[in-house]
Amino acid sequence: MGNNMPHSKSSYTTENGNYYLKFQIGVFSLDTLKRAALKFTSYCSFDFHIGNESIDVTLCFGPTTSEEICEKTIGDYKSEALDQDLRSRIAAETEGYRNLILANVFSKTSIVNTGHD
Amino acid sequence: MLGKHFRPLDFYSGGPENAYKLLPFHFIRLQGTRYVVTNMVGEYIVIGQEDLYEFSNHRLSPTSDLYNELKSKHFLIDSDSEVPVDLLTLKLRTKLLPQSNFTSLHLFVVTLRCDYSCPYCQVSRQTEDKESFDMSERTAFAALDITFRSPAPAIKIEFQGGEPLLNFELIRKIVIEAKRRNECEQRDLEFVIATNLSLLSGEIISFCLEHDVYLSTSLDGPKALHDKNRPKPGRNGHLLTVQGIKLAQKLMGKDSVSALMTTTEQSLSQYKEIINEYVSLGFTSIFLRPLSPYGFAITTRQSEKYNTDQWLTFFKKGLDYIIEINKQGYFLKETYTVIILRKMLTPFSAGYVDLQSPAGAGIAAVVYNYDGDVYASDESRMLAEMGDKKFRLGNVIDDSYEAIFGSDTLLDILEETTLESVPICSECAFKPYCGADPNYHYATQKDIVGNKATSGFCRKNMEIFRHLITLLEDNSEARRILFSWLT
Repeated sequence: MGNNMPHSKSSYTTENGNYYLKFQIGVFSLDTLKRAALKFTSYCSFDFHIGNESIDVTLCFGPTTSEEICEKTIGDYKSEALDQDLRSRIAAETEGYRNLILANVFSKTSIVNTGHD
Repeated sequence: MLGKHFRPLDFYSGGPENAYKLLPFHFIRLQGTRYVVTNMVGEYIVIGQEDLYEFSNHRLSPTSDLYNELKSKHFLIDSDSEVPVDLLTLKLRTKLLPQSNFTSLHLFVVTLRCDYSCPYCQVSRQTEDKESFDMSERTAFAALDITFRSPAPAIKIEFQGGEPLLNFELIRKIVIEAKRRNECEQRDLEFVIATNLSLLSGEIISFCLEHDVYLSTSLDGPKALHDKNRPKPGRNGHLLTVQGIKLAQKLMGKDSVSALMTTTEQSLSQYKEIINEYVSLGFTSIFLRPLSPYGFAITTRQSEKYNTDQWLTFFKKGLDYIIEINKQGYFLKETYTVIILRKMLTPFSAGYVDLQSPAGAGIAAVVYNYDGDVYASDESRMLAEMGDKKFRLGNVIDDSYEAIFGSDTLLDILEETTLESVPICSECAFKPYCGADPNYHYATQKDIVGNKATSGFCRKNMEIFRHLITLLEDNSEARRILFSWLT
């Protein structure tokens, strides 16, 4: 995976096979970043650290993982973080309707109004 | 009068009085910047990333085609009507209704003896001479007691093995006794024998005809492949299977016998030959099944011979070829595809045990082993033959119906495999099409929930869902053919 000197691309730094990302607090929640990370645990392990202004995410790849795979995983992870953020907002916004529908589904009442009730 | 047919002018102004509300939905990337959005019952739309964000942020124009499509499939609700909530409720209840009918598939393992020696055998069969591996009449009738305690209005009794025809006399007794009891029970009763057909005789066929017993067999492909996958002393397994199929079709009707295949390493490069074999025998469906990680498939390391991606390549090529065959005028369905399409495109359940949430273990299907032990699924039985009885629910002689189906073993499985509470699955847009396979995840990860990021089951199904949606969206001819499989 190249030399061991830390080097930086525009969105992350890497050193000794670990890749370090920073996500600004207020833009992404820790829960969002952890949910996004779940989907990539087959590629690498994750460490999280909450700093003053950012959440620092470390992606730890195995020694045989190519740089190409590492960079693709980082890109996919960042895209997934955006998706997770949107999912959280949608879930919060639609929670009321979801609970209403499920309550009606599992209730022992007729759904169709026959006019005889 | 025209005012009744046209909306008022201000409807089109996009003002706050026309603002829409989101109804519950999930989304997932299809490919590139294309996403799939699904509602609570699995109705889907393919949408671009920009449109997804516009829709989610309430900026979609009510005059757009996308708005109307989202509205018609209950992704949004606006001032027009509150009906979408009722419709979603009705559709979801329809999809879940079969679960309230409880166990409808009851598998009787009448013997573990078999006259074949398949290296991928999932049940760890025994040789023909070991009658201690036969189910007794006492055990069989006790299993029938349990069967008819199920509230399911339709009950299917499936005879499994080993090779069940090696204990045909017990099958005969079970069918006759079940039908006798059903004169009071009045269920919709169906019988199937899962057999290699090597022992099919005129007597057996007459019995099947008299009592409406169907046959299900394994056909892995042309002779060389089938006999390599499923070796039999005499090396005439394929010959006997094909003879049995033709005999059953001739005397019992074309639909009286079905077949399915198991993919081995040798199968991967022979998808055309396998499918052609099914066509040559007049079958109208084929089930392209991967190898399951149980029984002899583990001990002979057959399950390690190929990975999920290799099987997916086989499946996609096979499906493409099947679609081509349909274009040439021969109607042939791929069974797993039909199951998924039914979930995607209809409000009905597909009734497939391995794609249910919570898992279909016990509540959709149950297995009565030759020794009376009750298992939550056929895969559970296979695990037990490898020495792990984690999914054993009880015994038909020693335990009551309530003890078996109210056991902590079963309740724990059901609680843990409800996808709404499983990490990654709970927010997946493909959740309405998918299911939980606790046996697979326990066999491969020693955990009945499993880490879906590393799950072959998850990878397989996600890829198939994406592939089918892409075909439905981008290939009109394939779409027409796939829809025809649902009628």
